[in-house]
Amino acid sequence: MKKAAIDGLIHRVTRPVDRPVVLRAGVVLVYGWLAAYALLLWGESSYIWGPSSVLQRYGAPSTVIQNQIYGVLYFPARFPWIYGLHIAAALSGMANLRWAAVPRAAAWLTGLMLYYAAIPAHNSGMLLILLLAFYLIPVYTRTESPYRHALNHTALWAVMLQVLLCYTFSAIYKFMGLQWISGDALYYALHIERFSQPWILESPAWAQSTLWNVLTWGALLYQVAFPVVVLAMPRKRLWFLLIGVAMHLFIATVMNLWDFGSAMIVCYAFFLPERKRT
Amino acid sequence: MDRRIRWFVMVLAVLFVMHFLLTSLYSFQELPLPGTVRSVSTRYTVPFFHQNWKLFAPEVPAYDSQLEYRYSNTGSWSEWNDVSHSLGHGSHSKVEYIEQVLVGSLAWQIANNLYVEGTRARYDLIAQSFDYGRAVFFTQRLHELSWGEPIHDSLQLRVAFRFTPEPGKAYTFQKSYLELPVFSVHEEGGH
Repeated sequence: MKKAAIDGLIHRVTRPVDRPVVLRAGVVLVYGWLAAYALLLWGESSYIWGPSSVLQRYGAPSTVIQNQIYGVLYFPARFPWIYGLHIAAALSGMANLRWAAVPRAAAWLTGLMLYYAAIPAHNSGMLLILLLAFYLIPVYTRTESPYRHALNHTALWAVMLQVLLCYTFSAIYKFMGLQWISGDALYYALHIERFSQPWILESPAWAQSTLWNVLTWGALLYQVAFPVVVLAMPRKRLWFLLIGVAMHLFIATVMNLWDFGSAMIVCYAFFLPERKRT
Repeated sequence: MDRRIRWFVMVLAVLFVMHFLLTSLYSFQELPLPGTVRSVSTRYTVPFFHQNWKLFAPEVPAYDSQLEYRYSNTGSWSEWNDVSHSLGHGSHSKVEYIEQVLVGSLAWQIANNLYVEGTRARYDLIAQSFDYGRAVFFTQRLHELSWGEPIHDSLQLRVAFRFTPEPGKAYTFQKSYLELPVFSVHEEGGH
């Protein structure tokens, strides 16, 4: 019985993935996001990284790995090389080629170096995309190899599980406070200038709108329901994801967290259905 | 079935489970765990798989805070100014985002390390903190990049708080300022 179950699993994962186009599109979006994010920060890059960075340098534990990952922090003059390599590797990693794992690994590692050289400049959007970039390193869908198929399946499951965990942990943390349960979290967040808009801050009617209570509870409910709907209710998944896209567009545009909002929308690509080819 | 592919899938499955187990334990720091388990999960996760899913939780600050500074180069103090705004960076720039992160950790220092001895407020624990040091560095460097010359003499930071009224209460805002000790640039770290 146990052996049959294991054989069944092995048989399944050594065949091609059910959603190759989704996996391919996801790879393009994740590595495209990394390249676009770095390019969009170009105008402010000299403030964030490099010798004239406004961020204070500090020491991390001295191990071989940490010394490499913190390389741009310790040696700011390396920044232009790492930044250029990161963009080139991320763009190359978008290709569906046998050797694409090499530039993808380079994009992931240089992305980590850029993150650790300027932690206060980034948020969980970049961390999430870096995790996904790691899982997607071995993906290659034009293959007949059962080993490659197994890696493709693992990458797709890892990405989906990572997004599910992101929502689950976020919901648990929200239930540990009072503001999310009382519906006031968004009201307080939108009174912080960085996460708001002048039309909200300058209008008491907007600033005190009950809409923010509804959206706070809606966001909490969405996070709790996400694992259930995407795993157990495939027919409702598409509509549910569209609600999530609207929520993350609000976060990206109204709350000015364009990097986090776009990163979450990128993740949704991996949950899209795909028609089987005849 | 080929034994090699069988072993390959089994190893992959074990790595998959171990990865998500260890990173999940790391992500949920509030879970009471034996020290060794916590240490293993942290050592595995940092730096490659570091993650934080708090995302405006458990509570959003009930105030807006801005980092302001004044400086002295010729014996007289400048006006107080918002660090990023006065140096040409808008509300939605990355520099402002960095300022918000720095002022957020400085606000944590003020809440946890400002104390009163006798009748005097004591700032020594704040002034010794990494959070204060990097806020000073950020201000000095941004000033130098914007004005083309460094601050030669003294620098002082303050945090401007604008408290958000509780929902349902009178919609009026209370502002208050907390001035931190003067930082003497001459002494390179003295106060």
